[in-house]
Amino acid sequence: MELHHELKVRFGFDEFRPGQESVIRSILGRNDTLAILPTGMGKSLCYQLPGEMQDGLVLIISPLVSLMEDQVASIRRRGEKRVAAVNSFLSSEQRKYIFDEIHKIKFLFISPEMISRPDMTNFLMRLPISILVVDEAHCISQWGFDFRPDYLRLGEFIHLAGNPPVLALTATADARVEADIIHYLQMSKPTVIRQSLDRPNLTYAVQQLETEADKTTWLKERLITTKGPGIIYVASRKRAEELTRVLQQEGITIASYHAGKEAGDRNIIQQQFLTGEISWICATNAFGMGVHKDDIRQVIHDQMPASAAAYVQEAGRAGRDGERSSAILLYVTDDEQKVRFIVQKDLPDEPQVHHFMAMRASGQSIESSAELAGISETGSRVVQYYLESLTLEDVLKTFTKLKYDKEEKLRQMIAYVHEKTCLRGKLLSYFDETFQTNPDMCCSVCGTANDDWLLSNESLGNRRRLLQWEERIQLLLC
Amino acid sequence: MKLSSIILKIAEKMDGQRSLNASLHVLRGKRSGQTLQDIDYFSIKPYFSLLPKLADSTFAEAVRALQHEGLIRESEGIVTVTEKGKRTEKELRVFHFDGWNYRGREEIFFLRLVLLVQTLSQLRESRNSFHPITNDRKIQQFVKEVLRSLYDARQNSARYLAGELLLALEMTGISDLQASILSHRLTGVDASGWTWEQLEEATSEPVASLQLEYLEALHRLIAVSESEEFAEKLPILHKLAYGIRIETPLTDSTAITKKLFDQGVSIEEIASTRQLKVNTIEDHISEIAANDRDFPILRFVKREDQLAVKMEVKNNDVKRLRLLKDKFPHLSYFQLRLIMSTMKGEHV
Repeated sequence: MELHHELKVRFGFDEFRPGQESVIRSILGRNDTLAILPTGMGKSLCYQLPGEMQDGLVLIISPLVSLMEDQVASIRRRGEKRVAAVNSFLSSEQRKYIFDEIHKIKFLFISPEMISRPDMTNFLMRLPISILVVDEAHCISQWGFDFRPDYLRLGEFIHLAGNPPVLALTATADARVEADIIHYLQMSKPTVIRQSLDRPNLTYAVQQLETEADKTTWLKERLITTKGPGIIYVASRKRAEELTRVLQQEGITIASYHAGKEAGDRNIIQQQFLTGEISWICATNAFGMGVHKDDIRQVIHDQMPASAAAYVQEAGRAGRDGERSSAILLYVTDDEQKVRFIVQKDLPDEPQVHHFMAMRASGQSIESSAELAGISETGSRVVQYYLESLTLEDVLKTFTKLKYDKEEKLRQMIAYVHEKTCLRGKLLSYFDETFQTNPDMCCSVCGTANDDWLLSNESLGNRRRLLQWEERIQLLLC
Repeated sequence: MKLSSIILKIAEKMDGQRSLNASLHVLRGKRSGQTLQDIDYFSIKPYFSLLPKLADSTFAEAVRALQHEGLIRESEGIVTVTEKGKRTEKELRVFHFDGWNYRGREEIFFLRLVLLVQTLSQLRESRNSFHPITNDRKIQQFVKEVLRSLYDARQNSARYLAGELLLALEMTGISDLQASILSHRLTGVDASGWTWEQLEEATSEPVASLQLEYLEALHRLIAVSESEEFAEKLPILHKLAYGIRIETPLTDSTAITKKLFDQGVSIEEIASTRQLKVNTIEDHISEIAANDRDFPILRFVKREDQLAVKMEVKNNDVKRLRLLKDKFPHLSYFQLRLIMSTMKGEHV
């Protein structure tokens, strides 16, 4: 009961959302806790409330700078000013300022790369950490192996910091990912709290098409006749740009979003999407985390993501307000090969690793060895990480296994597009879940993916018109 | 406005004396002795560091366009402007950049302005909680300070700022298109800023051209805002322009060298104390010379050598160091650069 009182007084809420209370009780009991709560279920409250109730620093490890900044901003908005973020974009002077003032900070956000730096480890391990939070903890499994090895080193830090209670948060984790998280964070007797991933208000559909060009045609027709707000996920920046241009020509209010865009424009596009000035965003997977828009009605994938977990996460951005929403995956037969190539390209093969080793032995730098061996920058980081602790033979074995794992994950998506019984049931089965009742509008395989309710031409906007500059300033400020 | 026009202006100033790379270094703001001397000598400071992130490919494309139209020619690494190029250059309008004094910091001014406009626009609707258009903490803190200094923030500040913007944009002498770009990059309640692509579509001007127009407009807006003369008329904008102009034109490293140099320490000693190459220290000294009218050049070059070189430059219009070096083999490139540096203001 008193926990409800704290919730009311500190955050103004009357009720916890499903799962929150047991997570918070577990962490207050100083247990290592893994919380698997669907997107939009208020994960950050799980550390904010116990953090406020206890002395000491809450250290939050977060994968993306934009996500960190977003969370810092949201904590500040509720009036808690004792919050800061340390990442590689800070100048050394800004960083020093945070360290000098560390005793005034309650919530500190940091990237795994930053925490692995020896000076940083040394500084942080001495602080009184009340909770160590690993946000988006599935990254340990999804990215750790082949993208950001520093995720795998978090366990060492936790040990050095005297094993504070660890709270791992994620929206999606199957049994494998769950095991990875527990293993790499060296969690002892963790409490695992899992809230069903089922989203009854989402209708799933797979749309099989003949050619790439058909996808574009289909999307054109779809966006002209149905309503947003919506996101189209594509596999590359180039596709994002091209598709956006085609759809704009149809009069649809849409903008592209990817990591290659100028920062000012990225902020503007987010703002326009939030205010409804544009109905659609055509994005790579760089868009989404930390974007709080509850009324997204459609998420369409132009290309299948690399795993069911990624699909659930991205599709799950639709309908956070609980209203009916649609998740569609477009598919042509070639897609398998394309995605396989993208997924595997950063993992070096055996001849490449041998070549790399030979170059290193001949005195070449890590960068040029990787380049000479045709290994990507990401790939070279992975090779280095594994060579630190494993023999060459074991490294090669590990890579073979990683390739196999990635292939397995991709097969989940391939099985999904060919599913004959129920798409919802298929997705849930990957997370060892079954659903109780089949919703009225379940999926295209059940034959209940009726989206007449989406019909509308409101994604079409008038051509934007520039105002006279004097008028524009008056519109903004008068 | 085209990048190629800017390059043509620079090329015309350095006609027959410098390579293409020299123009690129100027635009990117390379802080080498050579470039710092060039901008002074050829009076092209306004273009210095105008585009710190200019990509090789973008530059090369603009150069190709100039060559294709027969406006410039390149031979043995030296760029000359053709007769057609000279005519074209004369027909271009005057540009009002001030790269030397702002060096990319204009963006800080604009972010402050964008955030302040957004905040006042929100406050006017009594919304205290909103998604800030920039997450940069330094900008946020600065704007917060400015807000604190505006009493009456809720009621009238938005209108005051509108008044200042209308007045300032009028005073800058920028075109309607430029004022339009600036005002549409601002964000308010239910009126987000426009992306560059959206502006391109609405104006039918390419993004690159719009961005150059924006840059020039911004430089002129800052110049008006920071001026003490108008501080009373534009109190809010004056605050936003605080600290944007480069205070000391020397780099941090050069400033350290200058301190030692002023104490009479020799170049070699400075190099060994600072564990830097002699060449680097010589670059620093050239930079100092280019910024100091009272530079003690006699510490490095005899008066008769100075006079001889100056005569050669004046009489034969030779500004290329390599040609001068051929003529005066006993002088080092460093000495020649210093002589050139101290010639500024003396018309050739």
